[in-house]
Amino acid sequence: MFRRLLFLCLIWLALRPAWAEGVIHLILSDSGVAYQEASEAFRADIGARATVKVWTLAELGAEQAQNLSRVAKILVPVGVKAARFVAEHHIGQAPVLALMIPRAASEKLQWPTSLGRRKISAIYIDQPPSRSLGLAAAAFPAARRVGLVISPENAAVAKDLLKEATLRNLRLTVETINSADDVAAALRRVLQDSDVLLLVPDAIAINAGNAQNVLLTTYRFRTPVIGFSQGLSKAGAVASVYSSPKQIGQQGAQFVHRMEEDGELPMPQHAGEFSVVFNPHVARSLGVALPNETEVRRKLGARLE
Amino acid sequence: MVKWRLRFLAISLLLAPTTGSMAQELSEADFFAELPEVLTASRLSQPLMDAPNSVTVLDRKLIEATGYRNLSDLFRLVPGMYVGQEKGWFHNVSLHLADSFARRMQVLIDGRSVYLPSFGGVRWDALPLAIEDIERIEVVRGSNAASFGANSFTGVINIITRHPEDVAGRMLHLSGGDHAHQEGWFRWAGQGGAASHRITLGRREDGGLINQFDDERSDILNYRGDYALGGGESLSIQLGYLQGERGSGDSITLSDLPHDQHVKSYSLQVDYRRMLSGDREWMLKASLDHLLTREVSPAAFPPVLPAGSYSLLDLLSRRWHVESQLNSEHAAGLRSSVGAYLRRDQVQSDYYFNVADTLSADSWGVFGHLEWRIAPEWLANMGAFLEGYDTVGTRLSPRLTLHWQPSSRHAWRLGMSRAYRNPALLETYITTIKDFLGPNGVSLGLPPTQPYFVAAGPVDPEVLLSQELGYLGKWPEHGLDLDVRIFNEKISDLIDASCTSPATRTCSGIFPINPRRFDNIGGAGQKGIEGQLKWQPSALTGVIVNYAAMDIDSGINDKRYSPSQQYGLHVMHEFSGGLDMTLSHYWLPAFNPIGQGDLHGYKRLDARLAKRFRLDGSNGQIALVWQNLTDDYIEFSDDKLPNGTPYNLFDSRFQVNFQLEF
Repeated sequence: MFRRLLFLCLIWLALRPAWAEGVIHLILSDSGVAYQEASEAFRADIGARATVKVWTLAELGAEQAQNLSRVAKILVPVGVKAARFVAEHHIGQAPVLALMIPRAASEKLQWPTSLGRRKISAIYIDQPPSRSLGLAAAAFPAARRVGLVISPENAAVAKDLLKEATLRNLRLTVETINSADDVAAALRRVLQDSDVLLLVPDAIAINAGNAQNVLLTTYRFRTPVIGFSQGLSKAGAVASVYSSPKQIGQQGAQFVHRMEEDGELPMPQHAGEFSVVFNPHVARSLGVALPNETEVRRKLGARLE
Repeated sequence: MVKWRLRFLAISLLLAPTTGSMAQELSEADFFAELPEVLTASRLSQPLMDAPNSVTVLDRKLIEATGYRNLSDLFRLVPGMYVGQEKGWFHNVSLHLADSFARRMQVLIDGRSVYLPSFGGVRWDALPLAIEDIERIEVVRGSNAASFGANSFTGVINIITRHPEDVAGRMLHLSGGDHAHQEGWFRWAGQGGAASHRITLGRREDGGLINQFDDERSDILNYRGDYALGGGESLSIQLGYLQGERGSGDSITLSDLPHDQHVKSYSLQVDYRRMLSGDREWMLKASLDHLLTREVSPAAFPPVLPAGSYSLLDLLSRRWHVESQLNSEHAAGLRSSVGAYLRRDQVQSDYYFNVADTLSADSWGVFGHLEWRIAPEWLANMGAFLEGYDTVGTRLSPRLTLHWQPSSRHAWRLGMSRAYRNPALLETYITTIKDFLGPNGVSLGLPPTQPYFVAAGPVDPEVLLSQELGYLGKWPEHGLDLDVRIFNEKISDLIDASCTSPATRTCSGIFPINPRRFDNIGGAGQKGIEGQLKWQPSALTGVIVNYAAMDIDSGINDKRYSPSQQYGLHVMHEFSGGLDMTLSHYWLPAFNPIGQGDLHGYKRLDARLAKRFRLDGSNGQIALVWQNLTDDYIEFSDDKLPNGTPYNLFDSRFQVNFQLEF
């Protein structure tokens, strides 16, 4: 009898579908390096406490996604495409934690009304206003006028930045543009009146296609730039604050622990961990005396490593 | 700055106008996008801290805050620089060793030398350039012949013009004020495909100084086109044209009564740039500068010169220049810049040279500069310029500087260099003989008089050996920047027009018996300190304090060629409601520029009050500008009218500037 039971258990384990209850499904938008880094960090932190099944979006059909939304312990889409796919096919009650997603994109996602609010959360890839403006203040203590060019998709971000700027006694000049053709003119207007230019991720205002123009223009105006990625600082932004896929992946795992303990996910939020990177060559060329990196991290409230 | 001086232009040229890329949805990919390294080492301008000289930067904001309408007035903002006016339209801008033609500084517009082959120095009034088209001015204080060649003797002024894309749209500027000052400018700039263009048209009129016949009228056209050729190649074309009249002569000199000098100047500049693999940049530039002044100078000294007599004082000055330069980064912390140029200078004037032929002088140069970061805190700049000039032979101008930068806030520099100033063609070939013509245009056939000026034969270049200690400090938390330079300069073979009569060493009279002769007259030692403190207590307030002091040991008649002390104070503040205020105060004591008598010292207070406004989405401003709010003072020349009134009195003047960008 016991041997038959054991045999049945083994059969059940062997045939147990990957999407069965208790499994965390990590759905990557793409198989790129950044997604792999996030995935590895997430899995390492979850450790042996739960099973993590990793998918790339290409591997997942609509029906599978629907099934997962019914049975998974939690769905963790990584990136905008995966998050949107999950949202579109969510018919069950599985909680969702979107990782590495811009806040503006996250807020645009349409979730089924039946899914409780505390079952949906996100760790944004962008930085909170206090951090980006904090970096501006720490790296350029004499700067009082901060320029910003955005498209309407970032209206909420701009509003938060304006609030933060007021608290910090900074004057934020915001130019809103509707078309990529208006970037140059808007940038010119803002740079005339700015000690530093803040870049926030924006599909129209700053992207891989126009980053070169934007950086060259700011350099001609001799205005230092605060960027939002390592790539931007390498390209020419004097300082950038960003959260790496690893940092976001780790925090994602902590969110899952919290869910296990409290029964619900923490509110959507920016990554708690971040890195600061400088471009010392551009800083020197612009005559900017960079502050001590540890000091800046401390001012921004980073946990000391 | 140094041989990376052209990088600002490089940046502007490489701006590929491809802003019309399609919008896509924002995603995390924007955070991980692999971006090209845009501001690479070879594209970055050399930081002020790493530059082998002290450099004062006048940026757009500062230029605008002064309200000055004469380009030369802007240099009052540079520590140690003397700005004077011999006439309303004739400006003297010198950094040490002042003389009437301010021959001892190199002046560049986007890297093109506008130094005059004829007189030397710069005819500031004949530059076809609008102040509104200037992005920034970098003034190198100290010799920089190792980077810019001979004549970069006591300093270099590099004017960088605005990229068409940065001024896209239209601009209207109108000014009017005392002394019949009137100006009107219109600019259009825009973009078409991979090219951007800027065209500026303007007219400037001014009545000049009180007692002088020195009014000015100029019509100006300026064009700049920047073309992105793709594949890291770019081309920039600049054209300038100016024509106008300048009041000249005076009622005392009966052989040169009041008349108009007709000025026609044009320039053409083509710059080609190419980014090469391995972070190298190659540049090729060609330029032509042409200045023709025509004067019919009336004379009346009956019975020798009957009423209606005149002489012709035409002068042509032309420079052709071709230059190539390669900037490379060899390894982290090791950059080089090498290049070569060929140049032809031409002058023609029956009056000044007593020949009908065009006189030419060819020159060539090769240069190399190495910037080596020996250790994180230590940097060395090594450079040399070897030049051959038809009239004086071949000379080498070397320089070595060592920089200690204990932190990004403090930098010390120790440097030594040798620089030459080649005599201008006028100093080499001058023989002024006036041929007086009667009212009927036929020569009066007067017996040849002694020329007023004669060439002494071969004149050696002036030599300047310089040792200097520089310091740059920054305290960003207090908004403070300090720039100090201590120098010890030894100048030999100074060229001056001295009298050929050793007994009196004076030359006077309408037809001087003893002509003046350009010759190497001796040397001088100059030791001094100069500096600038910038304080920006808030983004709305800026204070600049300039100070310079110099001790001159001159063996030549105890002359002081530069002011012994000089100071300037500028306070700028932005009030709420778009109201801006600037106050500038200058002071300098008496001194003796080369070839001049004693100059009076002066105090001067300038002010500007401006209101910025928005009109239908356009930016506009109205500015009230006062120059010299204190007492009248005597500018540059000490000459007097027969009744004893100073000739060159600078009184208080007021003007209103209106500008609209739409």
